[in-house]
Amino acid sequence: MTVKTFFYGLIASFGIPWLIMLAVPFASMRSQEAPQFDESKDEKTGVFQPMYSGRRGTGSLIYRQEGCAVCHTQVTRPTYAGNDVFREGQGGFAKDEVRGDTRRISMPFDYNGEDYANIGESRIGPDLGNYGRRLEVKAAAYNKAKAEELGLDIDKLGEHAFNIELAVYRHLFDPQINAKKHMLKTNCPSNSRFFDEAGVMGQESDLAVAVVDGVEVVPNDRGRAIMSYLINLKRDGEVPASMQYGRDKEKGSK
Amino acid sequence: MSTETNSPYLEDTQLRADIDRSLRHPVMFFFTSGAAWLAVSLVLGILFSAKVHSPGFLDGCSFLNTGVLYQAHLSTMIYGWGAQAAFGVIIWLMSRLSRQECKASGLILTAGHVWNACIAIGTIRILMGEGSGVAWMYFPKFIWPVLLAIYFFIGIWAVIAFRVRRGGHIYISQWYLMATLFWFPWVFISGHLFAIGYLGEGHEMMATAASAWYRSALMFLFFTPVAIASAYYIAPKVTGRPVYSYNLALFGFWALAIVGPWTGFQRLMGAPIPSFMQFLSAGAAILMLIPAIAVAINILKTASAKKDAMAHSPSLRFTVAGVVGLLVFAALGALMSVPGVMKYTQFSTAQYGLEITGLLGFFSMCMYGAIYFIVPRITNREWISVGLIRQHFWLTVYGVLFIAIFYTLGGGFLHGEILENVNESQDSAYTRLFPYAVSLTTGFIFILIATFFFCCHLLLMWLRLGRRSSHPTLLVRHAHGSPHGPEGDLDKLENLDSNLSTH
Amino acid sequence: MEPNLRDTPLRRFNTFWWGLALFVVFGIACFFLRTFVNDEMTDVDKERGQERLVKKDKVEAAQAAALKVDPTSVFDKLQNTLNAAPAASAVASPEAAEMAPAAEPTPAPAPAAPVEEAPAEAPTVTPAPAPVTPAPAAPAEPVAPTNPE
Repeated sequence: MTVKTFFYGLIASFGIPWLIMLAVPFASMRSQEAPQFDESKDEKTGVFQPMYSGRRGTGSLIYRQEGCAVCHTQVTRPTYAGNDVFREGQGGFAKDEVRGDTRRISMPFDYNGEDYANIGESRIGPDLGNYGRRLEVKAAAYNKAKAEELGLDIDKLGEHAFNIELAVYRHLFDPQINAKKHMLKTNCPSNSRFFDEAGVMGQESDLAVAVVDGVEVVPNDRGRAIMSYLINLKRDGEVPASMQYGRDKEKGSK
Repeated sequence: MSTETNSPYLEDTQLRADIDRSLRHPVMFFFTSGAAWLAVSLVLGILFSAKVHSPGFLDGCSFLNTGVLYQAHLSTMIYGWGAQAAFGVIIWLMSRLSRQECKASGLILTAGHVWNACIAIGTIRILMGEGSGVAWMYFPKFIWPVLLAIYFFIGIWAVIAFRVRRGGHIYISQWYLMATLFWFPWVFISGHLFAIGYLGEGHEMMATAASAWYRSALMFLFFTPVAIASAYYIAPKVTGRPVYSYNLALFGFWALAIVGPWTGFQRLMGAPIPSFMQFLSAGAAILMLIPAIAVAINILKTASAKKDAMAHSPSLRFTVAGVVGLLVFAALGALMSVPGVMKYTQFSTAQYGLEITGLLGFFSMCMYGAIYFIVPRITNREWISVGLIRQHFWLTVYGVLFIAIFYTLGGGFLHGEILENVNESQDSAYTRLFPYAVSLTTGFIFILIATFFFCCHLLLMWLRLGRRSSHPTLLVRHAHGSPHGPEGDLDKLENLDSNLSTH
Repeated sequence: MEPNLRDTPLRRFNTFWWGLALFVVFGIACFFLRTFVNDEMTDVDKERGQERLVKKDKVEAAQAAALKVDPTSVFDKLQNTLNAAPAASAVASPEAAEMAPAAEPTPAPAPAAPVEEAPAEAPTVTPAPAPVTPAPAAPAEPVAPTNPE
């Protein structure tokens, strides 16, 4: 083998997979066709535009920097790759009150608004793809039970209502205390980088996760960003029927 | 200078000694600092795995969050230890095989210092929560171009040495090293541009896919060929026999070159990337068995020609263990790329366990073998303690096997099985994970102790406190006469056969 | 040992710069691929925008088609209609007479019967403000969505 042959061989053996598997897919995924609604199945036409809220860009970056992606995934795999879609709350809900069966596998647009898709490395902790939605469902159930207990209208619970933001802050600050209270195990660490200590000025802050001796622990900007990102992790909205795993067509696109 | 002693053999020995002397500082620096980073990495790894099974451990210190610990641990292992050990081996091996003294040692040494500074700054930034968060590229963005530039100023001298070598036979190790030197910049630049540089300008899924490709490409096209090149040098050198089959060696090289770049995307099986990428990568990961088996046959056949050499020579022992590690790594990787199996192992403990098996069980073992061979030559001293070498070997093997069996296989499948069972809650998954996380901590502790011995030993050698002797330090147990083996010339003893090699 | 004929300063120099060039080539390859293989990044906003533009064109065409007469030509007729004032109305003639001059200067879209058809055709145009009081209400404001009640 001469050096020349060696280099030609090397360029070919590396260049071809580099082109086919990396460079060309990277370039062509930039201009993927947007999915369209189908008149016959969705009863409407037009381009499907996924909508997201919350501080997705900054939140996603902080999520990555803090290494949340090491223990949490955000992907629901098709059945050839795993049973994710059957786990309640991961890819959606089987019996969502409003939308019926919202379970589906992950799609490329599920990570719109983020620079880098936080697919995740392992499931030491639960999948977070629909974490925001699970929180909402939990809050609704809690509020319903509380309303019954207190004999109030569910809309008039006021301070008795489940405060989603505070719940997330508490979990981020000290998951172990939360876990003990709810008899759950967790191996999530305390994320104190998201919080600052400040003296209590007047009334305690609404979002203080702890108050000790006139010093309260409140979320800082980093904490607010990640909280906003987390509570808006919802991937169970309306999508074209071709992507909906078990959509009940009779329920329609509500 | 008497003329009758100017035989070719003496000239060659003199040349080899000159080469070793010219490379003493940069190579010793790479090995010592690499070993120190390995120790740091293992400490971080222990902290990480301790927090997985005992989350309250070191709570309240935001610098020691589970996620950032993992990122810092992997970064220091790959770029602090792995890259530096590889650089040391590359420049020494290429100089020796091409019979060229290194004329840029000062520059390489400076580059090495800058590399270390970058790793240190990058690691601190990761712990502060300011890394990039991208898998295997955790350092902040500004570090990458600097690392690339440093690589150029280290690697180019090896390329020049190859180019100006005397004509004649090109050793298989030289082919592997040239390929590594060529692959690394292409892999590094592509990976970093597509996964970090072009963030926001491409589809976010493809950024993730690029990082998945990068980690596989770095493993198979940088760490693997360097380790194999070292094995192809050590085995014939120590046994005094030529490589079992040069043709098989070439076949193994081209198999690696052709199959290696296709792997990587199987990690994203089921993620929303084009399915052809997922399945082609899975197939390629299974086909990686071919180059692994080719290399293993060659090295093991070469080494078994002199069975007592394997028992007595630390370099050969570590190298052979490394090659066995390659087989295990390739087999586990192939098993875990079968989609049916991947259902369980994709997000369980298996993937990380596989990476550790590859990095510590295969690559590091081959590097230890090379280091135990090279350091006496460049420092002109022999290793001080047989006991330390033995402890290093057995504790590392024990630790790696512990992790491979319990964390990778046991944890991988049993934790994965619970994750797949949709009726089981996250609680049970955590309970199931617990013992396997403990096994990881235990394995790391063994390896850390081994590394500690290794670092001490290496530090003593760096301080020129090794034995002044012409007998190599062999792993014999007080055989006839001197415990350090028979009297004789250093190189002659390594080539126990009277057939003198021309390496 | 015979001298190594391959080891020349030129060869070394050459290799150094070729090596550097190779690095640069890799970077350029990545750059070109990103920029030139597929130029346009998909922008769903733009596509939705195209749909809205199609709708807007439809609405404008429908409005134009519904406008069968030139508005200015019916002002006199409208004034007479207003002056006539329906018998059932509680508004007395003097007030109607007062209102009439105010109606004149405004060239606005008069809520004459023909125009009412247009909103019904265009689905996204709010039909709410159509038939109500003409004059004092701001003429060209599209802000009419809320009910005055």
